[in-house]
Amino acid sequence: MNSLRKTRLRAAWDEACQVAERLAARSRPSPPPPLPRAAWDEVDRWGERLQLARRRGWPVAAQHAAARLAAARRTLVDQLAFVSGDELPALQGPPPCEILRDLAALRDDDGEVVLDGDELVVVTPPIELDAFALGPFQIRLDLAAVGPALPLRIVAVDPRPAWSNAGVTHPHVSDEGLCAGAGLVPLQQALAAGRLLDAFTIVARILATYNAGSAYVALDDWEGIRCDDCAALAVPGETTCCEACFADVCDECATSCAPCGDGLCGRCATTCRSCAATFCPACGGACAACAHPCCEACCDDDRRCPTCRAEARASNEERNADPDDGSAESDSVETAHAPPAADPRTTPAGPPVRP
Amino acid sequence: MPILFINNDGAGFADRLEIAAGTTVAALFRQQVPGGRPSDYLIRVNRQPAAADQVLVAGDRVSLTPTKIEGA
Repeated sequence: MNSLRKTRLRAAWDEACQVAERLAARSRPSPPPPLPRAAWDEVDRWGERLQLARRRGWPVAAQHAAARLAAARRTLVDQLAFVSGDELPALQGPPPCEILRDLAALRDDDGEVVLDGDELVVVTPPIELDAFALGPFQIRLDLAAVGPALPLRIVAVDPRPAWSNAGVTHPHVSDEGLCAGAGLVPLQQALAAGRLLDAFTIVARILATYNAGSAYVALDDWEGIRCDDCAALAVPGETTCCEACFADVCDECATSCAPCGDGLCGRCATTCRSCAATFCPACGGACAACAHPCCEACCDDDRRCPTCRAEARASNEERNADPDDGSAESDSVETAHAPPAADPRTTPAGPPVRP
Repeated sequence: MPILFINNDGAGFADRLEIAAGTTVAALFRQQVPGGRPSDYLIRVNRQPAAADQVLVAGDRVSLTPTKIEGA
């Protein structure tokens, strides 16, 4: 055996012994996993939107909110399972020769394996999910940590976080914490047994798999938000949240309510037939007589638009005219020869009122 | 003859199995993952990728890890 090979083997053996020592000396408890507050808030938010959409009779908005609520619930359940796991069995320390073999196999697979203080670090190849390049990740295993939480940090080497949350560098990684999902139990078993090759392989496969139904941020929303009106991808800062149905729309599609100033999507914005102002569902509705859209400012106390109000006034004046009064007769003759007012119910001049 | 079998799918257990002499990797896979497709797994023998027709010997360490593991 030449001296260079001997030197390398000695270095590898020393490294394996250091890893074994750290595994055997585990005493520092790992920090408890954070409670899934963001996931909880997300379920709350979409639940409220669904309730609102149902109350207002908006089937499309309700369908969208229901789908997002279902996805948010799945994420919350998975994350709750992660934080409520049983205490892990005491981690066993494998002998240095087994660690040496695991480290050699990891280097054969991934190339870069480093012992950095108490952390064993394996760098994955560049990760690509659905043609989305996320770059390589460091899988950092704290050899000295014990406890139910995974003693892992996932650090993006070349971060490309989601635009909505800088801490989400991968659909299943938030603030360097991995949500292991289906890989949690086998990963815990591998760590408990000191099977480092298996543990790092499981983590690498999780990072290489995209679960669209249970991601912190979906890849579709990674670089922006899809406009709910036109489906175009809107860049950060150029979207509006509709205050009526909570849909996200691009600035091209967004409008606002003239009376109250709330942002609106295309489905919730209505144009007043009388004054042409845009209004939200809370600032207007339909004329009680002709059913055409009318804002609060144009409606009278009986919820009639100006056109219907004028017609009603004209009808009243006709009825009130005294048939025995000559002036009234001449008025009535003039009225009789006047062209009939157009019936707005048969000749609508504007779009029908939206629910 | 005894081997160590590690199934990193589902419960992730590691167990000692008795197999018949001459058992291949493919035959062991069919016994342990009935209906499964080998292409859906990383199959290693003694930490190295293994061919389907590799014959196992006593003391081999065989591991199965799904290629797709869904995070949450």
